[in-house]
Amino acid sequence: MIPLLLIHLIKIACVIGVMLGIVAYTVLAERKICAWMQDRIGPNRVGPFGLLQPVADGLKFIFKEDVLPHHVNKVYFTLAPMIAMIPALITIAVVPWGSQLVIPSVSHDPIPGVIANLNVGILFVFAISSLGVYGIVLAGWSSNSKYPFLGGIRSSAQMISYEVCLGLSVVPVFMQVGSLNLMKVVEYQAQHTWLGFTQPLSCFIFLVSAFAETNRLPFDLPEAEQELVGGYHTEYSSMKFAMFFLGEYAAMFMASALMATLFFGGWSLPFAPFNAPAQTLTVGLIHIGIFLAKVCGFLFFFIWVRWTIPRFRYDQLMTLGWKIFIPLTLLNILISGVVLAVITK
Amino acid sequence: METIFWILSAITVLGALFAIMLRNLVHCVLSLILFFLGIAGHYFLLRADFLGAVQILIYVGAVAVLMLFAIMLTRHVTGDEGPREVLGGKWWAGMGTAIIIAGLLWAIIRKDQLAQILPAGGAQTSMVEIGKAMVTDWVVPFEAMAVLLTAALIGAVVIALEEVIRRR
Amino acid sequence: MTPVPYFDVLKGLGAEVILTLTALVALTLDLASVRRAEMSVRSRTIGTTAVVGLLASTLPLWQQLNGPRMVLLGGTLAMDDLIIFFKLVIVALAVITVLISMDFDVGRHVGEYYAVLLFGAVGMMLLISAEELITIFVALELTSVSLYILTAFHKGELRSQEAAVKYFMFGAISSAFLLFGLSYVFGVTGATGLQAIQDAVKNTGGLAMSPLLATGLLFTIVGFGFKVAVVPFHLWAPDAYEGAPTPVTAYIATGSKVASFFILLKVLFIGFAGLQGSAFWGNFASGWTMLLAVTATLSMILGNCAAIVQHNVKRLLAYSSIAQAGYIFIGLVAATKMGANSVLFYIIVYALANLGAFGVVAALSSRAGGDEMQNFDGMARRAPFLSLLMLIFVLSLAGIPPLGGFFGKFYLFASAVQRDAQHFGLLWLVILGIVMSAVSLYYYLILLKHIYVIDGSDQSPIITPTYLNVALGLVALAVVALGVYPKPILELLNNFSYSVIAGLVR
Repeated sequence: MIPLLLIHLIKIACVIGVMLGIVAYTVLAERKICAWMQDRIGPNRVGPFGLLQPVADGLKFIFKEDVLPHHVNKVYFTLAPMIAMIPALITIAVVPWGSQLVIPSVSHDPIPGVIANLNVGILFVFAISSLGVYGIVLAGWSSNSKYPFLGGIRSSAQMISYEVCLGLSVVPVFMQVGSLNLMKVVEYQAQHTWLGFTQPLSCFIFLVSAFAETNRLPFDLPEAEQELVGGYHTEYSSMKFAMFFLGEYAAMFMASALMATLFFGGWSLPFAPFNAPAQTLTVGLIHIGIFLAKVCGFLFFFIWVRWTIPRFRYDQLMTLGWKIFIPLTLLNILISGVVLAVITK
Repeated sequence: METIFWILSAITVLGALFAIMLRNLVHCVLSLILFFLGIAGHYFLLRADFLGAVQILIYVGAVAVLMLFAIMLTRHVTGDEGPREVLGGKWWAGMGTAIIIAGLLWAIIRKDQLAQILPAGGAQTSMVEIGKAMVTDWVVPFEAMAVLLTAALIGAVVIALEEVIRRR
Repeated sequence: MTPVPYFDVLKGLGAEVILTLTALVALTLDLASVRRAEMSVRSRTIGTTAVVGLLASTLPLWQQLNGPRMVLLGGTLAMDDLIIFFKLVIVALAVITVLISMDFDVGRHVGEYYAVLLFGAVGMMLLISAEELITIFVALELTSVSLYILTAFHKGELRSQEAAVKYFMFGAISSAFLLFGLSYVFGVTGATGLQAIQDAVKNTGGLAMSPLLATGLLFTIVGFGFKVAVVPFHLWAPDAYEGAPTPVTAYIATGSKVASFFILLKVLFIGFAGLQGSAFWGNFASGWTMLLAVTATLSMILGNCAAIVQHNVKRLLAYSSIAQAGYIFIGLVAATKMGANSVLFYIIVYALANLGAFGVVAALSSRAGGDEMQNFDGMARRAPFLSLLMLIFVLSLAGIPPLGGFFGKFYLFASAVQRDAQHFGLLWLVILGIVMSAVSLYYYLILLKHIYVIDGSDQSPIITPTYLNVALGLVALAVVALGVYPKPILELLNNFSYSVIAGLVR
């Protein structure tokens, strides 16, 4: 028997470790996929097929000179990359990676596949991820120079706008499921059908808003190189820059995890024994594998879109958010409400 | 539980104090965020998960960002000029307020049977219950809130639009 | 959970629903059809729409008249004849305000102006029918937010912007006070319905036993004190009144005051029925009557004295209405059924006279070039009819017989004297009120001197639209009628058999 606290710590360590590992390899995947799409080879010098590239990149960032320009506000300049990194790491705690792990030698009760089984799960995710914007705003402000500042302002406006879309787009999902708990959402999908099929509009708007929230192309305006040099990154170098970089990919991972959980069944597959909580350790581990496979699929989608679609103009982005998506989401909520009322009658 | 309460309270009070006393406006807003987070922590401590999450989502995630946004868009970004006097020479007003508040608090702590008044541990309410209450018992204020927000939205647009038109 | 009587709720909210829809129609109409038309055409069209909507909103009210008293959903919505009567008063005040606005330059955003004005009316009506703290707070905020917005409507005028910011700041802080106070009240009593609070208060053993409740009561009164602008919570009023577009000033000074006083009366007389304490001379006891007596004293003295030195008509009327709030508080201090009736009667008279006065100021100042006293020199020759109306309104505010103001004040003071009659407990307050009324006569007469005695440089006649003359004339007629023949309204107020006020000791 292992004390509960230790189990929790092990779980946290595993989740963070796996997440950061995948994040690191997403960077490599991004470069590889981009290269293939452009008919190049991509990084292939470090290790077999370039597989050790993330390690090399990490070492490079660590050993680079950490430039702290004298015109910056030192405290916030240092704090900003940390703040940008943290939300994704915290929010992953409420996403169920698997159903449960039955290991009798370790614990009587099955170990749930989620770190924190919060009743307000998704609300917690939105609340914490809304803090991410501070990293970028502070970076822009504390750099005390023109382009980062503009990037910071752009990004805060963009993220606030799309947070509204993001929040409203998932409301029909919870109306259908009847709970905000992400574990329950997945169980509902395992028993019934994937919500991506019953709520296609929600799914689509969530996906697009997630691109805007993570500042990915086609919505990467806060750091648009051609207009803003490098946006809020401009003054950053070395490990601080790397943390922004990691933060962005971690947010992408989180967005993919949410997509998989909310709309595509999380750890479940629509046939036995993958549509019910696991009774054996093997099935439990396969559940985690299914979840991670789905996440990787969405990560691939993120990268695919980045190298396919050109960047939006800023006013187009805002118009899309406020004038199209928000009315659409409201309409979607209304329609879902009416349909649900009719069905339950 | 009690230790957590005191830590959160310290964060909340310090955040509130710094929000008033610091010179740099951006620092003030950041202290305010600390204060909001402290309050949210208290909600979580009282097991009002929903309220805590909403507190962070709305106050930290939106209101404070808008404040930062507004400060950044004004010309004197830092607001560092000159010493900042919290009471502006009216220290007697501050003293008076402090004495009144202290007296009231002392009386409350001494006389009121607080433990009997307040339900212990707080009530655990689920979102479903909150949602149901809003459209049943509290449907009138809920709808009034909708009208209020509509009016505020119209007002915000009108007041903000004015400048643009005048400049043309 | 008992099933919610949605149909009854909808019926009870019929007037509010119609007003909200009218507001949206006004917005859409402005946007869709008359955006490019002349400003005056736009203002008339949208204004007429608003008036039609307001009149239509009385239909459900007439229907419910003479119905039984109903309290739905724990007091979030109450309905009885008194409430319906006061909702009708609000509608009347809003109609006149709209008519005044149609003649006034309210800026480019005509549709938005009338829409927000109607939203404000919705807030006031909800406030009147609320008997539950959360609803009261939300409705009060709806009213206030609408008024903040309207105050800022004078496009490009710095005075208006400053007034709006001041009004908003003070309003926001007062809301914080109010909410804080109400939360303590809820904390002690565990209830938000006024009736339930009354019952729970009896079990707490009064203020002496529960300082928490005393704090809640104090903060609640401070919050309401800001809303009705009594000293020492009056600082926003002169600036807001002066800076706001004049029709909006009229709306702030009348509609919101009527609603706020009505709800203050209900909160004090129903919710805090057991906590009135005593304001009798030589026999003070802590409770809300004592707090109100202090603020009433300060308001009457400071409001009247400060009004004497004003040169701006709107500012003068602002200080005068601070003083008037002081008089009204005397009726609340009496804390009897007669006191309640006198308060309700006086707020109607006060609102009509003030609305009329501001209406005349709005109509004349926009044509005379300003709202300073000098702009009104020789107005009796330039606009004899409106000057006559102004005479009536101002004299009514001063309390000259046979106008409504006289009878209202008399009734207020009488109710205070009658309470504790054998010891003349409240006589000190009444004497102060009478002395201060005499002081107030001075500045009211100065205003009239400018209109009637002093000759102005400009002698050209001022023509005002007929509908406005008729509307203001009707208001003046009502003011006179209430003074000469107050019996119907008094009987009406008496017959309402307001059982809830029976919660008071006497």
